[in-house]
Amino acid sequence: MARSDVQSSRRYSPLLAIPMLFMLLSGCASMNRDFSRDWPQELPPSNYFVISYERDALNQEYQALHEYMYWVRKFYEGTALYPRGWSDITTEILDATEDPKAKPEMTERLAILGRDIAAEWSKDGGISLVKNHNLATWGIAASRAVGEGNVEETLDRISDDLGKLLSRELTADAITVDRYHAPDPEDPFAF
Amino acid sequence: MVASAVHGFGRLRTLLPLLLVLFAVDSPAHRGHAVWTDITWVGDRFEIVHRMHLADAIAVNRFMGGRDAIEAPRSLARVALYVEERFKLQGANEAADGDEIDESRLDTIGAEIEDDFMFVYQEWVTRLPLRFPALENTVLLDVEPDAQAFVRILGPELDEERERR
Repeated sequence: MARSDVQSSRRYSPLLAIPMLFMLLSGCASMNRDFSRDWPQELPPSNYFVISYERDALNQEYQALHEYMYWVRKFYEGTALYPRGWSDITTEILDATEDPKAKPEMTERLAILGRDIAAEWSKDGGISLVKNHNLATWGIAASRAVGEGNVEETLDRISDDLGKLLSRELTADAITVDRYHAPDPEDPFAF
Repeated sequence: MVASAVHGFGRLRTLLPLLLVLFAVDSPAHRGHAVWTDITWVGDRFEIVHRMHLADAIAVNRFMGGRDAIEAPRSLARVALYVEERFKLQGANEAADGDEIDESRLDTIGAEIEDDFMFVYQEWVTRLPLRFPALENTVLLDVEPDAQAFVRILGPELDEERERR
């Protein structure tokens, strides 16, 4: 392949800019909406996150409340980059929980863990101690745990790591999938 | 003269019920300042509900630097954080199963207004303690130094009432 071909394949088509611009603008419009008006009932009460926002004075200098609340919703609903939100992960785990007696406790655990992650991740990117790749890692770890049947242990570890991250005993970069599962030797893309 | 005095008294008798109604309406403005806290064991945690008069919540919001209406989400959050900073469990405690409980962090869940009261909700996720720990409770003292506090604890072998005067 000629060098010019490689370069042209990396170039974005101008037509692609139109839907991207539309996505960005619609994102801005929904970000500015009054969050309390149409807060989904299946999410934790919005008030919980307003309290979390008020707790961090430094973050308030960089991020308005409605922006923070926008990202809280995105955490649960998913984003263009991470389409599986916490609500999807919760559904996946609960569907795989066979014991009906265990479901209420698992629901509660997932609700508390999700709430704690969302409260931190939704802060301004420069302030938040939970980074995007941590969400991806925890999502992968939770999915694998469903397949391997060790959801409770994995949630324990994620919860423990979140606590260490928030108390700065652990850095975001130190959190990789192999903290939760041994790498699969047959997976050529295993990391 | 006598006739006019009697006539005046008669008018007072007519006005008396109205005056009584006015006093009754006015009396809440002179009520004491207090915060009532109910702590209830619900199987795997304690649910903690604080209740204060809306007028006191408005004072707390201002004390915390809030200028929005008390119904605004950020005002509710400020009052909740105010309570969080002033209502704490003190020290470790022995669990009913004999082990020690070292987790004494209360999670602040939310706040809301209902009628003339503000409610702040917290929870303490823990095992059942043998005895409920000591409380540090200075809620409202910054804004009303004479404010009282009443705490009611409900749980297996734990029922008790505490009071700050």
